Amino acid sequence: MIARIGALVVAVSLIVGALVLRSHHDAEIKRGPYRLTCASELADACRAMSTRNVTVTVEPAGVTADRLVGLAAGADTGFDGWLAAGPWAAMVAEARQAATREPVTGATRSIGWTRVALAVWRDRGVALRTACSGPLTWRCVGDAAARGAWSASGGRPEWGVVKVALADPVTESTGLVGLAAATAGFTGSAAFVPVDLTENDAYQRWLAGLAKAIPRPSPGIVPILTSGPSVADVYVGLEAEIRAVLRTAARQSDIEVVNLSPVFAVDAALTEPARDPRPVPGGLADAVHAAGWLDRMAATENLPPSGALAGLRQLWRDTIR
Amino acid sequence: MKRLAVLCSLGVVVALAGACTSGTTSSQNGCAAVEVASSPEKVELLTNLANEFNKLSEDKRGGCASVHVTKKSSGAGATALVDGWRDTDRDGPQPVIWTPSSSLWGGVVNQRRAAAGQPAIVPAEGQSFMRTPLTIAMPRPMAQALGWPTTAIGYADLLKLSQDPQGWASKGHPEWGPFRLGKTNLNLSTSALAATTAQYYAATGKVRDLTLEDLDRPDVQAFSRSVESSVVHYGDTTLTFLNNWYRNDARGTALTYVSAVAVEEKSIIDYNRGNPDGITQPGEVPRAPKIPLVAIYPKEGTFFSDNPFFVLNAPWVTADLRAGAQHFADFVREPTNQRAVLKTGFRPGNPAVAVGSPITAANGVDAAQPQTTLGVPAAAVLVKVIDQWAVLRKGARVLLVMDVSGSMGEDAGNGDSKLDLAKQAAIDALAQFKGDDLVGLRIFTTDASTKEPRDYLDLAPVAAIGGQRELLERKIRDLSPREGTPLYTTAKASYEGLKSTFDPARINAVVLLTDGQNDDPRNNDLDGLIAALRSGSEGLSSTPVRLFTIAYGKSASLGVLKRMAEATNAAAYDASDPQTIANVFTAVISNF
Repeated sequence: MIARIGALVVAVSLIVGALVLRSHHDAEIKRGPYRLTCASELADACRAMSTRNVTVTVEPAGVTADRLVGLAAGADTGFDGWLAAGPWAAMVAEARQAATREPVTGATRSIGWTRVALAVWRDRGVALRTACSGPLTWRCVGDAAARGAWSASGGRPEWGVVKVALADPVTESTGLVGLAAATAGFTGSAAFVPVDLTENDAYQRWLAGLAKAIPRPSPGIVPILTSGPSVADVYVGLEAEIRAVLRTAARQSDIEVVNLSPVFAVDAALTEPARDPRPVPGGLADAVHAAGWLDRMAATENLPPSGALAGLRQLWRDTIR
Repeated sequence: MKRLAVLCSLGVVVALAGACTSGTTSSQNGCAAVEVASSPEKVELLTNLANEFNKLSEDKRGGCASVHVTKKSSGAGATALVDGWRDTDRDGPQPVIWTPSSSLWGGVVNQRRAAAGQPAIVPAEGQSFMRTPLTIAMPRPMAQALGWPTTAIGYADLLKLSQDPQGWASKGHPEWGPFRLGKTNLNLSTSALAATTAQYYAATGKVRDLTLEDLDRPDVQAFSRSVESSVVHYGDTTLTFLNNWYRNDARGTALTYVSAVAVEEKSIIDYNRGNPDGITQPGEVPRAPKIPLVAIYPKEGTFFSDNPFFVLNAPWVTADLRAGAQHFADFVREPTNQRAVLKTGFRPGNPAVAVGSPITAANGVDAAQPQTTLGVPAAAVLVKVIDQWAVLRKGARVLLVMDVSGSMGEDAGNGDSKLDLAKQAAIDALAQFKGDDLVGLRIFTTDASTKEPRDYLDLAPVAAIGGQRELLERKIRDLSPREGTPLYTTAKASYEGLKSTFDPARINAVVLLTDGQNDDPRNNDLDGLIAALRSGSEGLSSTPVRLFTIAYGKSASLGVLKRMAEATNAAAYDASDPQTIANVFTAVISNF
């Protein structure tokens, strides 16, 4: 008798469970495909997710962030998941809080890790080390950039001027975290305060010199590899992205990848909207890892806090752009 | 009974399968094509790739849509997009993918649309499918005279040479005459837009961030005007120059036709392989030129033509078409297809494929060059470069010669006569001249005039168009068809007339439109005409007049008109379909 009752309970539970699942599934279908907004640096991972059930929009993280900061309370964020490198969601939340607006972003979790890195053509790397009188440092790269001509930094005259590819820190994650790493390298500390930097003449001069060497528009690693050092001598970006391209590149042996001190770890952060969050489609983390991002990161320095990054972004917007 | 049941079941299955199959077929038939508007130099390559792509299963294509490629010059595509690509009769099908030679055009389109209150239609970035740097092509002996390959050469060196009254004599080669530059029209051609922007950079000493203020500097404008003054004539495409160069090479006059032309690296490879237009016709056997060209990568820096795939943000681009376009973009970037790209002389856009043959010194190019890539200026700056070129470019002195023989009165197929269409096209084309260009109008037909010369009649003198634009329009509008076609006499007289009053500060040219063949019993000497035209155009002629011809309608002899044009190092244009005359006139006038 007890066995029969137990069996009945199990059967009913299964039916109820199935109905709940079905109802949930139906509700999900009614809501249409999962809308995944991805920052440029994660575009390849996201495109692999593009199916009938997932629509992918690629947009620079800074563009999404600025849109979210200005969004009316309760308005649709336009995504069910927002994937970007670094603490963009926290920057959005802090900016909205400062403007006394309701949050529009919900929980954020890290689904992959990589590091800030620098890719440099080997012959340029040799010249820079000569100019640096030792290992490469951010300060030394910036100094060479400020001097302009390669002939003034141990390079050959026909190389022209030093060109450092750094994406726009106002719009692109790679640019912002690259700038943060370079700034920490210059100041010698990851705990820099952007407000102080605006009054630091040495830093301002150094930054202006670095900015002068950035091609406009700043090229990505692919055009640098296909067109050679005429496009850029040095590329500042994320190790995952650089190594994913280099893995199959014909000129991989002409490029070296360097992690300059301090070595910042950057996460691929998936953020859900504050309202009506949806289950994340299966396979997203795998797609991110397949694009070269690591499951976990060995001990490295964490990025400066979101407030410092937002300040650095503003500094670039005000003084350089 | 059981067998009958089985057969019935099979019948149902077959019927259902048939229904499904016919549904699929109908679905395929109903599929829209992913239209691709491609710049001319890669249309053959892209068409081949599209054919391969269309053979793939729907799974691999990302749907049932197939890809269809049409040719559209970068500048003409940009103009069509500014207007929302509304005139499909003129511009071809509305593209899902627009692939101009260079991303430079994307900003120009969006900037011009913004000025007209229209939203951006071209995405900020397009996936680069292949690349080729802009170079200055020079015959090898001329480049060597400037120190190539050991000395880097730039725009400043060419400007200095063009301003030297001794010309090539200053480099020990008086037999080459003055320095002559060939450039294409900025409104149509990427190499012209890139070369002119690079000129401005060279004038400022910058390699990035060219500004509107830079363009207004008197010294910068003077530099640019000086470079333009050495232009022999402009062209709608670089192929005009390369074909003429090749013909001159065969005649042994390559070094006096033109000294340098701004072209893409890929075109130099094609030329040196004996295929100057880059298109292999059936049965064509390429023959290497006697004097090869070499690529000068300007020391001041240059641009890459990056051949972007712009999937347009246009109302006609549906989600399915967008998905199909992305699959095609991924397909062309596959290593196998990128190796096909390399074979044609472009540098692959996928870094997995190494740059190698045919991008080698044997073909006059250097894979290790260029050393400096110039920064892409802001869109507003590019638009101003184009607008300013219309003012700074070398002036033109053109005699427009129109056939008004009886056959011009024939129906062009839509109720208008051939002459009606030609008149409208000519009137529209007048707008392309700048105010101080000198333009005159001559008509020809048997007994055009009551006194000698009777075969032709000048309706407007060659004078500044600014002062007689309305007169020209009225005279053209009033034309009516009359008698026969004294083509040879008129062509020779027009050419010699302009030559006798040659203006060295301008491009001197005759534009001759005819719909028929010479039927003048008093002068039927084609060889004599060709000899006269050629003798006035070869060697160190200091008064080069170009005769551009338009073969209009089915009865015109394109072959004869081609010989006439090529004898003067100009080009013949084919308007055998009268409906194309407006586009053809635009192309012809782009030579000035």
